[in-house]
Amino acid sequence: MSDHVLVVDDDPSITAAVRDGLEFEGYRVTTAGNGAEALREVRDDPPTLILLDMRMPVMSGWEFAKQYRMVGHQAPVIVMTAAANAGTWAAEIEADAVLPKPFTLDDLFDAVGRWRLLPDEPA
Amino acid sequence: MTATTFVNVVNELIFVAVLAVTVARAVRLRTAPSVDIAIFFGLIVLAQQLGNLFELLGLEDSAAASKVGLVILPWLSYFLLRMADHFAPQPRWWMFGALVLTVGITAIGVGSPVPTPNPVVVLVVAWFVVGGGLASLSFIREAGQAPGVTSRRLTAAALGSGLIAAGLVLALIGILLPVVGEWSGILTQLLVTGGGVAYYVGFATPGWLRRAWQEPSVRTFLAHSAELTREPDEQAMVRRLERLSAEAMGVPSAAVGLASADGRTLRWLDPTGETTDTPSDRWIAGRAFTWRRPVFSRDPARDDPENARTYREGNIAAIMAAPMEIGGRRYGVLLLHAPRTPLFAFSDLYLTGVLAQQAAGILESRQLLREAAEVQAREVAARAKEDFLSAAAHDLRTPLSSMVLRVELLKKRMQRDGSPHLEAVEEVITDAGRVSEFVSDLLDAARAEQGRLSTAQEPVDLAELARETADDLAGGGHEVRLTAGEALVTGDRRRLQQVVENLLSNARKYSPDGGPIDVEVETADGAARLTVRDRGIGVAPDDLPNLFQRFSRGRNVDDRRFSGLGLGLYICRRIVEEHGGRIWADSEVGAGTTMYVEIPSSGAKRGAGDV
Repeated sequence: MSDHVLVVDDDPSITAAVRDGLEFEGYRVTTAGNGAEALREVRDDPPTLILLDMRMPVMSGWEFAKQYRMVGHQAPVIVMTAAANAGTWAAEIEADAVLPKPFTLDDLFDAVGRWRLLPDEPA
Repeated sequence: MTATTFVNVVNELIFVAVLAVTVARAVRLRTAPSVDIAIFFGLIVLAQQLGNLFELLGLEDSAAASKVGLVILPWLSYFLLRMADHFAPQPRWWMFGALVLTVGITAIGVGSPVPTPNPVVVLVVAWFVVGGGLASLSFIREAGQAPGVTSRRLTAAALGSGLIAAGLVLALIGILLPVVGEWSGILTQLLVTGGGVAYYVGFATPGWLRRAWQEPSVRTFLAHSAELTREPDEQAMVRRLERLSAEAMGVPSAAVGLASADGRTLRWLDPTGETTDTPSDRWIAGRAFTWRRPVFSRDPARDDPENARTYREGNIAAIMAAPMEIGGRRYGVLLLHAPRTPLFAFSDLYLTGVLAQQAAGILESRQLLREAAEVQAREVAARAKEDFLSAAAHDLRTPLSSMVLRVELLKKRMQRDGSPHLEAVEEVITDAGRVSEFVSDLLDAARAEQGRLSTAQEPVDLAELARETADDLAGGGHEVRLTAGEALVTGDRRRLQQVVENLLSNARKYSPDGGPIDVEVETADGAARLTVRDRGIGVAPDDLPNLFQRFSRGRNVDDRRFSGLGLGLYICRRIVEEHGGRIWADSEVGAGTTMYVEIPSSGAKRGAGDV
């Protein structure tokens, strides 16, 4: 199974840029504009990693994380936010890592790369 | 003892007592009105005691006694007019005419045979009634115009004149119609006694009565003073303050002199709405201001000869002035002036002082309200500016970060494809990075204002941060010499790293000639200390105090050579302060700058004795 990253952000320019970047690195990427869309994506095509913005319309990162965990999904979540208290928020939803905005492409690759499945790891 | 004698005795006792009080007052004050009042009561007592006096002297001449009484009566009338003149100035010709008439009637009285013929008695009494009546009228007229306590005093004086005149008319009827003799005698005595008491109350008002009479106007003053603080128009406020003070003190007018900021002049509001400045150490008002205590002048022309003419021309016969001062802050002078001396009593000086202090309280409250409003306006403006900056930065950041990501991706693609335009893209990345830095500085500054830059509480080793940063900055032509011992603190790692990075990149940025940069980290006296020393352009002594303020940039910093918003060190200061530490700098232009950061150590490796 290849690495599949779900990028959740209400700003399409961010999701697009992140998607292009990660695809360049060989990831498979799907995107969602809010928590509700993300939940649908998770159900239809479960990712191996989630990049999650917190403040979003329709459904926030908090609500998404709650429902996501409730259904028993295990893929790690990286909180991606511009807020000063990114760390606090990440702790609130028991996220696995934080990627503070703004970030460079290398920051992104580092953060995502840490959770990359090893080629020989059984899926 | 018959009713008549009893009334007589009481009547006489009252007048003797009043005489004693007025004489004592005249001796103490030695002003024309007080002397006139004493003479007036002296004449009344003399007239009353004539019989006893003659008896005492062994003279059994009742005819002579009644003749002396006849002579005294016209002078009573004259002195009554004089007193009226003190309160409500009479025309000069009239005062002179009254004197002539009095002398003439006295002469007729002296020259008339004994027993005195009725026409002469009628003439004398008529003069008394006319003189007293006119005096009474002018008292009444003046009472209608005068404020507060003065109005009551004049009313009492008018009542006194009326009662005495009525008493004498009754006495005249008694002489002309002996049938009513006995009753008219008692009534006359009662009326005259009442008149005497009223005179005393009006002319030599005892202090307790003054207080009681002043109380309603003082109460009005206090009741209105609270709303004066909110009167938007300063001129209107000063005018109302003046009017209230005048009413409270019972004088026609009062003036408020506002001290200038340096306390050198007093500014007075003229009736025309113009203002006049006087030196704060001149005039009677200036004395009150300079001496910082209430001042009373019964004769300003004499007490302040320099300005005697102005006082005379302004018809100012008496002045009370008190400094408007509260808690050591001096707001000016409250000045009360009267065209007639007897309007004031010495005991009013205390009340004047209290009113002036109250006025100072009003002025102070106004000032505080105004200052509070200004501060609020400034805060609103500052907040609007900050909100704008932070909103602008917020909106810039999202497109910026996706732009940076895309350009970086472009670079990676070009690297892979071996494009010849790599350098151009790298320049774009550098510029984009600089814009991102500005934007995040602006956002950090906005956060710093709210004191919420640092959020995490984790163990951080400053030495480790310094090592990492020095490694990152290595190259670029600067030698970074690091001396680092362990320096553990508790706080926000990312923010503390920002501080270290900022100081090191500043050191590099402002050392264009590439001098070495010394970085030292140590723990001493319970504090972790970071020192960054460069040999760069330095900071001018005038700029040092503002170095850590927002948007401050050194004057020797060329904007074209060194880009920056002047936020970096401000953000550093706020981060350090949020960690309970402090940041400061030493510098010499041309020799370099040393920045110091001190943050309380979390003390992981301290000796047992320190715990």
